[in-house]
Amino acid sequence: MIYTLIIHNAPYQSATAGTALRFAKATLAAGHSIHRVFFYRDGVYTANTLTAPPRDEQNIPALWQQLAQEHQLDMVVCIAAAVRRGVLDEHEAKRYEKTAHNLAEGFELSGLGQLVEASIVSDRVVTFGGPQ
Amino acid sequence: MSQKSLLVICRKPPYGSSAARDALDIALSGAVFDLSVSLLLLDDGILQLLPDQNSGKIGEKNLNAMLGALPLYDIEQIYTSLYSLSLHGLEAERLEPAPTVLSATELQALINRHDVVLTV
Repeated sequence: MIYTLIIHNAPYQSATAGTALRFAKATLAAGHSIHRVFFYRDGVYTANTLTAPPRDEQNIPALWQQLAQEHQLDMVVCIAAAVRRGVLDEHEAKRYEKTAHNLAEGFELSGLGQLVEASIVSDRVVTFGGPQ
Repeated sequence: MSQKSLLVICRKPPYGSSAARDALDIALSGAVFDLSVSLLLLDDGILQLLPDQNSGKIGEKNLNAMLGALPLYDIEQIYTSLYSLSLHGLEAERLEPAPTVLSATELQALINRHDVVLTV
């Protein structure tokens, strides 16, 4: 089956980020495919390359990058949610005249259309992170 | 590509978090893709439909205008439950836009008949 994952919560405060990561690994291990991982709302913080957890804690953004590289995952970050929260790629940093950009490699800023498109082509769409 | 039906569920009040706005953004995006979009507002989510909201005093954009735009995007189907209305002592006809009120059984059927159900 084709899956799409939507992640609503930021890493560290919520267990959601870790749960979603393990779900993604289990889905792939079971022979399914993941069409897209879409980061929405506070989930966009997952794509902050400045994340620097203590060395004995899991580095959620790095783990996503690793998984994405191994399985060619399409990781899309909602651009409106991200820019509001200060997660910018080089292009957006220029547009808003900011002196730095911090979108981690392997993630891409794009619109909610990517979420809708993923919903259309996927057999299952699973949201992580309850409404807050 | 066969067009699917999309149900967006929101249980949160209009200004306590970004949930209401984020849910509406998904609904509008679905409509742009010509999906058949329905909106289900449950529990505190029904407060989003209260008329005459004055959110300027807390520095927030008014949700009434955004909800008013839904018919322009062909999102005419807004639902709630009997329980949600009674929870807040509200009547459907006093809300804008007025939602269709569903029983618990009808609620199950509504969720069941949609291809994609997204909760915010």
